[in-house]
Amino acid sequence: MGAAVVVDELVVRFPGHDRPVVDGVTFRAGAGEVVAVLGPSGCGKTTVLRVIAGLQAPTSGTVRIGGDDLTATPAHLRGVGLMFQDHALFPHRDVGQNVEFGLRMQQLPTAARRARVAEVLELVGLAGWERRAVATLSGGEQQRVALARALAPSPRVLLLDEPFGSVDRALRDQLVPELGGLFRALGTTVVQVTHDQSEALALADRVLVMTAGRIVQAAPPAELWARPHSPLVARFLGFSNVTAEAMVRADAVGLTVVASGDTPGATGAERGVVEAVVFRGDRADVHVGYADGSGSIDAEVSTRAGLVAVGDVVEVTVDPRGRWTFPVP
Amino acid sequence: MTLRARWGLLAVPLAFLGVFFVWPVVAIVGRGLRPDGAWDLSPIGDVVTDPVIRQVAWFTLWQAVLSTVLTLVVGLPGAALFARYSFAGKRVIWAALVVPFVLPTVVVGIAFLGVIGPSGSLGVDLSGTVWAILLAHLFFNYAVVVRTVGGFWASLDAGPVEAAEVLGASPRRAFREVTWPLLRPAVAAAASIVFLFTFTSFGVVLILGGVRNRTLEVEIFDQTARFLRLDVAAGLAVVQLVFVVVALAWFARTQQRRAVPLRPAAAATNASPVRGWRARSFVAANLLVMTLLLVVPLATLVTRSLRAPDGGWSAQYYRALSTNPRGSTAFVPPVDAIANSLAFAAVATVLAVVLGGLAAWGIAGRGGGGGWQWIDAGLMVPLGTSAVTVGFGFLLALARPPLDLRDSLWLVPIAHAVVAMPFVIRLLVPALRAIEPGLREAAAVMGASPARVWREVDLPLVGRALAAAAGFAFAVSLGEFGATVFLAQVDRPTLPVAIYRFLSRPGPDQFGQAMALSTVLMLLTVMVVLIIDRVRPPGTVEF
Repeated sequence: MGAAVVVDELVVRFPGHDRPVVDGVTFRAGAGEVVAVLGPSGCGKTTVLRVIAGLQAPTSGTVRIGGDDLTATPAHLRGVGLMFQDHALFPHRDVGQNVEFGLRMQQLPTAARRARVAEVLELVGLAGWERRAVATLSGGEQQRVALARALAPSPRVLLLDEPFGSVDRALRDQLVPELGGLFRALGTTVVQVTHDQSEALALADRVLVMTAGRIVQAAPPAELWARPHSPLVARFLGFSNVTAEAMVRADAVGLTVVASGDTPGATGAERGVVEAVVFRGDRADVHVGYADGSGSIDAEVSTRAGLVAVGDVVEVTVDPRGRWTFPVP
Repeated sequence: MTLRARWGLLAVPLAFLGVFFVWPVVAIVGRGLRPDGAWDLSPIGDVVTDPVIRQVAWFTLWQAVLSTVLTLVVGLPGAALFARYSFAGKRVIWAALVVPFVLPTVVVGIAFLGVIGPSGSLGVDLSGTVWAILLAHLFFNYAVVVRTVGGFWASLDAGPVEAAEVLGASPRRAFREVTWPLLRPAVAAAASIVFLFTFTSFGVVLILGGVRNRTLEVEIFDQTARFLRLDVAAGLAVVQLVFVVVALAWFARTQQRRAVPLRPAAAATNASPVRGWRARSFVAANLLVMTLLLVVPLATLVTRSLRAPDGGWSAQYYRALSTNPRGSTAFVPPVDAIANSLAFAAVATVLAVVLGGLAAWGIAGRGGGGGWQWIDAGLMVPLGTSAVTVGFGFLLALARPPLDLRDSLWLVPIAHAVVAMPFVIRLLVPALRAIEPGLREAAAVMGASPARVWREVDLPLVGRALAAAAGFAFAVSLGEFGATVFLAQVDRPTLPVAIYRFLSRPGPDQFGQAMALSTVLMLLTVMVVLIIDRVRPPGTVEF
């Protein structure tokens, strides 16, 4: 069963840096909750993870796991699992020995260890790979071994650093729901760190957006997506049409191609000219410049009814449900 | 790297060693075992069955094993100190560690007598016991373990150790399960060097061993220079070589078992400031060991060089260094010896780094089948061969056509390069093997030619090892004595030879000047190593 992780007023300074890498981070991941820390690289999210794991001493602040203050507890006594971004597999041990390591530290008998190793390797799709040398594995395979190694001891808290960075998309699409189900079944508390929005949104119960050492918004994925706090968060989530006060979701923008000679219709819709089209498969991103020169707007349109082309004159309509005014300017 | 390329890299160093190592050794062995043009192997049989020589061989072996173990036990914590902690003065201490290693053995022997001799400052007379020899060997070889293992350790990626700790391994357990297995090749490399040195130990044993504790090397020197029994000396040299080859074969096997590509890490990320009482006492204990072991004998040396015969302080021995009191032509002012030593050492360093570097890149290259560890081990043989044999062999082999170098100034630096090359190779090969092949491939894919890859990837990543290798080569040349004493021309002595000349004349003035000159040699070494430590190829990972 998972344990709650409470991080309180965490500050981490590195010698030689003028600004703290982590600047007053506070959050709580409830028992069994899956929390994603989402932020651009260099925002301090990996450092937060290292502090929770006990690999980095904070300058100030506390870390509580399962109600106990573990701020001063060394890493090996915390009972958490950590999957490293660069895998950090033991180069001198094979796949099985890597996965088995945490079980040996728990002094599990040999037979139980072997069974558990086989079980988790199967879980990550590497059944029977025990005797492979880690140096022969691809990046994605190494990542799966790293995940298996972190999962094997059934830690009460699992920390994942960019867990799907080097697995291919098909495998990720398969692994993410499987792991989501697994975490829920086991009740493991998961703190995941990622810079990839889709990854954070797919797996997490709650997403913490972090920039420059601070958490700027914490919300369940759907709410975060619908109501980003600030232009900064909105831009980081990948929204276009973001101004200082408000944003318009690109999928709420409708385009209707009109013949250039037509007079403006009674709808009162604004007219514009298509300036760029990026084909995305089932949809296309279209950049439209307003005819009166008052600016431009991005639209995300379905490709079902065919593509608009650069130079097309369009009427632009906006679904009011796609318009959002930021509470924090 | 193709097989052809690897052999191409090795061709020049192998040819060099063929002419300047194998041939002279064969010449002296031949002189002993084939005196009249017909082979006579009976000296080997005589040597092997001689109970006295058996005892010498047995002593040589066990004192070398014990010295190696002792040096590892004391030196590995020192390596940990430099790999894991950053502290004030780290850089200077790192450089200064090499000093004992390069001091002439005779001088160290006498410095130790000053501490643990009959009237020594310790108050316990250990001279003539094996303890004196073990301590002096520890003094000499401490730096080999600290620098070889410490340098490699500092460049290990911290990730796997952190992974072990998060998985529940205590720091001690993580060391045993992760760090130690990864360090083992560097430890084996250091141990093999220490073993070879102590196995062929000469000056220290001569002075501190008394009459009963004699090594094969001392026996060879006596048979060659004192009794002129070349046949016995040749027999002994063969016996010694057999031991060395067996030891190197063992070393090659240990190297064969590892082939783990490691990720290099910026050393600065691994070293942390000293915090907490455990770390503090660890650092303090190490610095105490270094002080007692390295500083006390050297301080004795310096104070003796400044002590006038009347017991007061005086710089008279230093002032006398630039004079030639007897006006003799054979006697050169000792300051000239400084210039000679520096010039020889510069040439020897260039030769050793270039040739050893070529060999190391050839050995460390991937591709072209197995068996390379044997060449690797074979290139270490000069390290384990008696310097006396090499020096005397040079005189026999290189003093007549087709290669007459008797009057050439090249003789000394070439001999020094032969002795220094194994160091360069030993230090570079593990560093080169630690480079992830992907890095070279990445550079090649981005359009770098093989030469460019070498310059942009290999060179910066092994820069630290290369600087250490150059420092060692220079230092080895500065301190080499056993071969140089045969080869240096009368009017061109090196520093150790000049010191030896002072020591071999009776009188307090001579002794005081020898101490003064030894002090100069010591300071010179520190300076040179500090400079080489700073001048590194661009892009080198910072220590």
